[in-house]
Amino acid sequence: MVRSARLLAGLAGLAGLAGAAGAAGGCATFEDPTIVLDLRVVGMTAEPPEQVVDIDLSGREPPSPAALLAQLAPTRVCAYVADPGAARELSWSMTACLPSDDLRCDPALPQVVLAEARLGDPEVVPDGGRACALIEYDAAPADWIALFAAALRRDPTRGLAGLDYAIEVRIGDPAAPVGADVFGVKQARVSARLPATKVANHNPVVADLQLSVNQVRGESAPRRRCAWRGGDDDFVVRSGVRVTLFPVEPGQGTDEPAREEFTVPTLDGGFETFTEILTYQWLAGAGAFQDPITGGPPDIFGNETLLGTDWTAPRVSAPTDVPIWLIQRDARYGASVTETCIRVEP
Amino acid sequence: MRRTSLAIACIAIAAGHAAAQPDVRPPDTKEVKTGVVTKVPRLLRAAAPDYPPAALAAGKTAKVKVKLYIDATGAVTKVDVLAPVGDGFDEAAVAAAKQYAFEPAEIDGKPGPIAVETAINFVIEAQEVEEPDAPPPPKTRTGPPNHAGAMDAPVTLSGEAIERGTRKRLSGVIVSIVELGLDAVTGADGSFYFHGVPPGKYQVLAVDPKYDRLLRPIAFEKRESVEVRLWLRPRGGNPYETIVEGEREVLEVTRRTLRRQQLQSVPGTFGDPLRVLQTLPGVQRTPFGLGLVLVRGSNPDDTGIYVDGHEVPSLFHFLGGPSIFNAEMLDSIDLYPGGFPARFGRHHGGAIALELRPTKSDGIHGSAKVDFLDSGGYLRAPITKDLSIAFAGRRSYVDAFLGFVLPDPGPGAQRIVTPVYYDYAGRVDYDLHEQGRVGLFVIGSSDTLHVLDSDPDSRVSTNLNSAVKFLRVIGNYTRSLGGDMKLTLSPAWGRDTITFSGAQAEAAGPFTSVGLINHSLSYRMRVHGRPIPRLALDVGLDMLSRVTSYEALVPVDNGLIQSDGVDIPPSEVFRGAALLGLGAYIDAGIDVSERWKLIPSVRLDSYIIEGQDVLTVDPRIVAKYRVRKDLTLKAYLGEFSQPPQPEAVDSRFGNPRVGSEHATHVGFGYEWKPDRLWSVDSEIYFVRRRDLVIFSDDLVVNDDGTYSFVNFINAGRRQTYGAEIMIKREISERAFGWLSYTFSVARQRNPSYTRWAPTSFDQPHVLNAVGSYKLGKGWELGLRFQLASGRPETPVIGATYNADTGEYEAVRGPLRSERVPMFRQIDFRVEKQWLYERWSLGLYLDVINVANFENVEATEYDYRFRESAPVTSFPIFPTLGIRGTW
Repeated sequence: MVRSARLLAGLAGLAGLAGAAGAAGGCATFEDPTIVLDLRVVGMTAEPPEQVVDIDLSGREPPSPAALLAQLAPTRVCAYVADPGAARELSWSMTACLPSDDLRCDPALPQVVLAEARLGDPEVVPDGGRACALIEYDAAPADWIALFAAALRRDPTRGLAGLDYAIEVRIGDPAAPVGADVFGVKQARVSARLPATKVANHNPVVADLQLSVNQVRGESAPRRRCAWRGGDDDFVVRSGVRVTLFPVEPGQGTDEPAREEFTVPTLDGGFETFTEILTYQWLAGAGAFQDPITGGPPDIFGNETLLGTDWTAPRVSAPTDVPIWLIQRDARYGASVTETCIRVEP
Repeated sequence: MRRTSLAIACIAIAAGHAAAQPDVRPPDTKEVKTGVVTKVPRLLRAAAPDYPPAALAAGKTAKVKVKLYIDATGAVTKVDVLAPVGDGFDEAAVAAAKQYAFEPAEIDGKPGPIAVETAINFVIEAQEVEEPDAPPPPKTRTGPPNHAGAMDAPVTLSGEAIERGTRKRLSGVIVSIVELGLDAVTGADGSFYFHGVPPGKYQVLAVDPKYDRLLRPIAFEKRESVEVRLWLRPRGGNPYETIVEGEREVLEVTRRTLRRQQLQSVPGTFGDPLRVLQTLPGVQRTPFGLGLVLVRGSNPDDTGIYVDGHEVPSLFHFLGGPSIFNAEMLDSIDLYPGGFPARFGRHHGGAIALELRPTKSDGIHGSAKVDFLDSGGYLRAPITKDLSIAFAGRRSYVDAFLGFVLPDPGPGAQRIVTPVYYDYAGRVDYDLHEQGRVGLFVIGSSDTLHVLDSDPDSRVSTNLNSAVKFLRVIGNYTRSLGGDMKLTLSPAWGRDTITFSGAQAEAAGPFTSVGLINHSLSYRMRVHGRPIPRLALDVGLDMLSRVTSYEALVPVDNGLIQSDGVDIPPSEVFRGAALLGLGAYIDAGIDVSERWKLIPSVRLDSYIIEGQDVLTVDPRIVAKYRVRKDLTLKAYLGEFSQPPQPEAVDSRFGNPRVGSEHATHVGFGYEWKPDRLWSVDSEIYFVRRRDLVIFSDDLVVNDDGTYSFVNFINAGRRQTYGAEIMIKREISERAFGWLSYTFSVARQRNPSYTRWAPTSFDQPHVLNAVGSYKLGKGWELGLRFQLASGRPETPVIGATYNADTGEYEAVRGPLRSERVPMFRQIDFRVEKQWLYERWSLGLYLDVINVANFENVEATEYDYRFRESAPVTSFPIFPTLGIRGTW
C-alpha cells in the first residue's frame, strides 16, 4: 500500500507537472487540427451503424451462423474526404476487418474487401468527396462468418455487448508512394436482441445548422459542398468576422427527443437503460474555431453543454469559399456528416 | 625577570602530509617502497637551532623548508633543504634537524623509513626569560593516553581538541609540548592533560591527519594551571567529510553507504546527500529529475525505502525537489541494489535503508540553509545529561518566483501555479546507559500543487489541486544483550494521504477527485551481533498492519459490461483494503575459513490481504571469498517476494485472488582495493521477475451465472541483467570522486506481447563521474557529469483516423524499439567556507546543466502523428545558497 501510495503520488506529481507545463505553455506548436489543409478523411458513416439479430437460445443446437448472417441488412459505409491544396484524382479501397491496437486491419484475422475505386477531386467534383461501399453480407458469407467468429473469439465479453467489426478506408494519390496514403476506420456492431426490447442504434441527424453573426438571429446554412455552386444561397461574411454555428437536433424543443434510449447488459445478468449523448466535431478549410468539440455529457452540476461554437473567418485578399464540416456522433458508432460552405470576402 | 631578544626556531612535522604520501623514497635505498602508512612518525625530541648571529644582528627572519629522511629507528639520517634561503639559516636548520628524534613511522604495520617535509622558522621576538624553578619533570607514563608528564604531579596544563565550525570534540589527536617532548592523545571527549609542567612559555602542537596542524604558544606562571582549547581546522577548510563508501558488512553482498554529513558538496544536489544516491551504480536516471529511485531496471514501486526498518512512501519532494529527510537527522544511507539481506522484505527490486541518528547531549548544535528554492534548519539541544532533542524543518518558496518566469497568460486571463513543499522532523532521545537507549522520531512531509488557468475567451478553465503528505512516528529502543549482541525494538505508526482534484475554475466543486489515506502500524524486533566469533546473526520479526481507504469522485459504471456511449456522472466511491503481514527473517554470516564466508538467509512472510492468506518463503545465500588482502570475490542467489497492491486485490475493482510477485536475484562480483585511496567494486547480475500483477480485461462467468471482470492477473514477466562498476577515490586532503558505470538491460513480457520488449525504465548505459577538489582557504570546486541512454520509445510509423471519435490513433512500430537521444548533463558547484571557532558559514553556487544541453525526455506529436517535437528536460538552472552550521 505504500507502493500504491508512491504510485499515486507519482501520478499526482505527473498530473501536476503536466498542469504546470500546460500552464507554462511549454508545449510545441503544431498545426491546428480543426483546419483541413490537405488530404484527410473528415468523417465516416455506416448505415445502419448497428444491427440486431434474433437468437433463439432455447434450442439445443447453437444458432446457425448462416441463419444469423441472413438477418443482416446491407450496410452502406461512406468516407467523407477532403483534399485541399491538390488538384488530383484519388484512389481508395475499403475493407471490413477486425482492428488491431492501432485500428488498422489486423492482417492475421479474416478480412473482406468491400471496394476499390477512384474518386474525383473532392474540391472540384460537385457531388464528390465521398467514397462509399455497400456491404452485402450474403455476397461472401463464408468470409463474414469467419470474421464474426474471430470477433467472438477475441471479445472479452463473449459478444454480450455485441460484436464489433471495422471498415478501414485507404485513400491516396494513385501516383504517389503507398506510404503517403491516409487511413480511416469506422466500426459497426452486430448485437443479439438482449433484452427482447432491444432496438438497433440509428445514425443521429442534424436537422438544421444555424449560422449567425453578432448574435443576430441565425439563418440555415446551405447544406452543400463548396464545389457545388449551383445555388444562390451563399452565406457571406467578411474577413475576421466571428460566426456562431449552432446545430439543431430534430425534435429539439418538442416532446420527441432526437436522442435514443438504449440498453446495456450488466455483470449481474441484468440491463440498464441510458439516453445517448451526442457530440459535435467542427472542421473547416480555414479560419479558427473557439471550441473544436461541442456537446457531450452534462457537467457535474447537470448543466447541458453547449452544442454550438464560434468560428472566426480567415483574413483573405479575395473572395474565398471555406468549407465547414460538422461531424455528429452518438458514441455508439452512429454518426452523420454535415457539409456547408461559407464565402469569406476581404 | 628581564626582557631580552631571543631567537627561537619552531618546527612542526607535516605528519598528515606524510600520511597522504605513503610512497616516499627512503634516503639510502634505490628501491621505492610502497605501502600504506599505518602510523605517522611522532616527534620525540627537538633541538632549537642556533640563530645565525649575523642574521640575528640584522634582524632577519627566515622559514627554511627541509625534507627529513627518518629511518626505521626514528633517527634522522639525512636532511635536504628544499628551498635555500641563505644567511646561514640553511646550515643552522640542517644542524638542528639532524638532532631530532622520532618515534618511527609504521608502514603496513611495521616500522619503516619515511621522508617528511617540514619547515623550520627563524623568528625574533621579545621574550621574557625566566630561570626555571625546577628541572623538567620526568617523562614517566603510567596514566591513560590523554595524560602525560609526571602522573604524581598535579595537572598544570589541560584542554580540549575541538573541530572548528562544529565544536565537535576530537579524539585521537596528538597533543605535544614541543619543548618538553611530552605528548598526549586526546580522549573520547577531546580532552588532554599534562602533569607537572613547569611554568614557562611553550609551543603546544596538535596533530591529526584529518586536520590542519595547529601550533599554539602558551605561557603560564608558577602555581598556575592553564586550560586551553585547540580549535582544529579540517583539511581543506571544509568541516564536512566528503566521501562515498562502497562498504561491505558481513551480512550483505553489496551495500553502498553514504554517511551523515557526507556528500553535501556534490554538484547538482543542492547540498542534499540523498540525491547522491542517484549517481551510484545500479541506479538509473530519473526522467525530468523526478524523485523516483530506479534500481537495476526495476519499477519505482519495486524498491523499498526504509527508515530504521519501517517503510516510507518516498524519499524526495515531488517534481524533482530535495529529499524529505534532513541530512542532520540521518546517520547513514544504504543502497542495496540487489541480493539484499532478509531483514528487508516485501519488495523484489532494491532496498534503500536510512538509519536515523540519535541526538546527543553535547551542547546546542544546528544548521540553517537558505537558497533560491527553499530554506531549512536543524537544531539539537540537550535537556539533561541524558535527555536530548532535535528538530528540523524546511519550506519552499518556489511559488513566489514562478510567476516571474511563466509566460504572460494574456489580457484578462489568469494563471497561478503554486508548488509548495515542506517537511518537518523531531526527535527525542534518552540515554538509559547500561539499560540502553530509547528514542522517538517524528517526520512529516507535504507537497501541494495548485494550478489555476482561466481565460475569458475559452469555455474551459483548469483548477487542479494535488497534495501528497505523509507522517511517521517511529519509536526505538536499543540495548546490548551482552557480548556483541544487540536488541532493537521499534514500533511505528504512519499516515499517508494523497489527493488530487480537478475542477473548472469557476465551479464550486471538483468534477473529479481521488484521495487515498493509508494508515500503517508496524513493529520490528531485531537481534543482531556475533554470538560466537565465527558467526554473525541478524534475526528478527517484522509485523505490519495497513488499512488503505480510497475516496474518489469518478464515473463508476455499476457493473456495465460495455459502457461505450454511456453518460456516467461522477459519483463518490469509497473503498478500502486491509493487509496484515507478519515476517520473520534470519541472516547468518558464517566464517567458514579465513577466506570463505557464507551468509545463508531466509525470510518468511505471511499475509492476510482482503481475507486471502498469502505465504511466501524466500531463501537466499551469499558467498564471499577473499583471494588476497585487497581482493574479495562475492556471489549471491536469492528469492524475493512482493505482495500485490491494495487496488489489485479490491473485491470490486481488482481481483482478490491475485497473489504475490516473485523474483530471483543472481549476481557475481569482486571488490578490489589496490591502495588506501582507490577502490574498485564491480558486479554482474541477473534478475528474473515473474508472476507480476498486470491488468486484464477478460470477463469470466461465475457459478451463479453472473459475470466478473478479471481486472488483474499474475502473468507479467520481467528480466534484468547487467554489470556495474564503481571506481572511487576516497576522501583525501583535497580531492574525492568516483566514476560509476552501469550496463543494464531490462525486458518485460506480458501475455499480449509478441516478444520481449524493453521496460519503460530501461537504460542500457548510465555513466556518472563525480569529482570535487578543495582549493584551500575554504574554497571547493565540484563537477558532476552524467551520461545515460535515452528512454525507450515506441516509434510512430503512421496514423489512422478513428471516425468514431474524431481522433487519430498512432500506428506504432515494435514496442519501445527506439530511444530518445542520449542524456548528458554537467553540473558545477563552487563553495566557499568560512570557519569560525564556534560556527561555520558556507556560500555556494550550484549550477545544474551548466552546459545547457538540450536533453530530450520524450517526443510530442501533432494530432495526426505527422509532426513531432522533442520534450526537453531542464535547461541550465543555477542556485545560490548560504549555509551556516554551529
